Amino acid sequence: MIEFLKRLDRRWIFLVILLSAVLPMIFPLKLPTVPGTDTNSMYRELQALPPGSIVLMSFDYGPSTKVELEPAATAALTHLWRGNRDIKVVGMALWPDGGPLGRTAFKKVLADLEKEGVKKTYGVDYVNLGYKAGGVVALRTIGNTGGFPGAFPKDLEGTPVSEIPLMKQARKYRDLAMIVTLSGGDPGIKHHIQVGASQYGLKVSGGVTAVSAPEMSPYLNSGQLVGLMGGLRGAAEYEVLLNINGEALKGMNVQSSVHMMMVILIILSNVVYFADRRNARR
Amino acid sequence: MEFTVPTLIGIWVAAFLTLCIFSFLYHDNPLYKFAEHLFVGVSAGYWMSTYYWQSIRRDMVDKIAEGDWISIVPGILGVLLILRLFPKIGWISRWPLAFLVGISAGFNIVYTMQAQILKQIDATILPLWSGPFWNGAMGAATWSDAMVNWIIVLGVFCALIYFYFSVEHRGPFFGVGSRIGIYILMISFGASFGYTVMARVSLLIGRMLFFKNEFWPAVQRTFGMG
Repeated sequence: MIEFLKRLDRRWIFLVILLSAVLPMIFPLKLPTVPGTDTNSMYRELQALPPGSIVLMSFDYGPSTKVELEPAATAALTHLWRGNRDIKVVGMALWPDGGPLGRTAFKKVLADLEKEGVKKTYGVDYVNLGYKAGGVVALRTIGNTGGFPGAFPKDLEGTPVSEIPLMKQARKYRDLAMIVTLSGGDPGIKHHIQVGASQYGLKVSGGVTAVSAPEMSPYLNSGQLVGLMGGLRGAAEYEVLLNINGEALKGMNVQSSVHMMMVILIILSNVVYFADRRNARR
Repeated sequence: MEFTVPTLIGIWVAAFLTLCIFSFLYHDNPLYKFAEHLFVGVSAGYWMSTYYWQSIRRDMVDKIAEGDWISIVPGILGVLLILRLFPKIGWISRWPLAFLVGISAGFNIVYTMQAQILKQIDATILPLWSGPFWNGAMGAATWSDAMVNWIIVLGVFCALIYFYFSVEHRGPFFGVGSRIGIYILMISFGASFGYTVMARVSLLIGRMLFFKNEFWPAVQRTFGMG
């Protein structure tokens, strides 16, 4: 048996992982998703925003991390606008693909909320400024005397920022109530912490890919981040808090099933390793 | 989901390319190579176009057209950077490179120092006792908070001892401290590995959901089923 497992072709493991991903989609496990402390904290902060607040939403991700961060973006936007809350959103991106992906997220949320009677007007309630190159330098530019118009002369659609009503209210960092960033890596959430939180005392929260979630613990611990959605699971937890059955929640059964399989495989390979070592000593 | 002809074609192409990439799990093959090369080419083209329209056009070309001639400077620096491709005058590319390094270092020293060093040191100076402890100052709210603070402080301290290479890691202080530091680092790596697996599984979920929610309805639509 040990010899068989030692010589097992790795393609069988790929097949087992594939099956553990596909089967829960056909036969859902119905395992509960319980919101964690960081997700709860982000929910409370967004819930506490007073009417008329302006939130900077930074879409710092690309197609490779879209599957994790788009559900986080739509969950946060849904929370900001559901019940026709008067929260203004200024969208921007530190990644070139972030602008168009932000446009998709805005469209998706508005289409979903339209059924609940929520109407938001582009330029008045929200705006998508698109991409700005430079990472931390771009963010510092917003903090300079020129403010948003200096950093973003035109929005994603090519409209001069001076002609957009919302941008007359949102000129500098001090006009913002919070920064929500969906961050797929560098540049991203760390740069918003460096500039928005550290230099201008703004509250920063958002969603990050699961790979970078453990790195965020020190920032949560120090209060530089007021809440976080860590990976697809974080977005699913937020959907639970919003009581919606979104894209992230649909993937949680698969996530649990594949993780269980991974744990079984790790235990099995350790058993094989130690058994083999014992045999070799004999 | 509304299926127009371009949408249907897009979904079929996406499904075909996804399967081409997944075929690598069985064996390296020409279909995988085709999808890989196509991905690299399309990505390069897409990024070039995106950069032009969202950065070069908006931040340089349009501004120059409006008479803001200072905006030409980043363009010139960008062209100088490309001179690296010509060996005889390649040395000129060091100037914009020096500018980039200087700007990045200047910004990062200040911002990293404030946000990632000073603030993090501040967050590690924590009360290790509960209740009032000295000169009216209050400690942690509860004993369990104090215990958590002990773990944070000792964890940071021991991990730092592990990276202190000027003294041999032996004896009750450096020996035990660095040993605990290793365990702390191992726990941290374990958490990172777990989250990395979660991220990769999320990508697989994305593709599986695509097949279930987009491709299968597209197949039904294409062949007039259901």
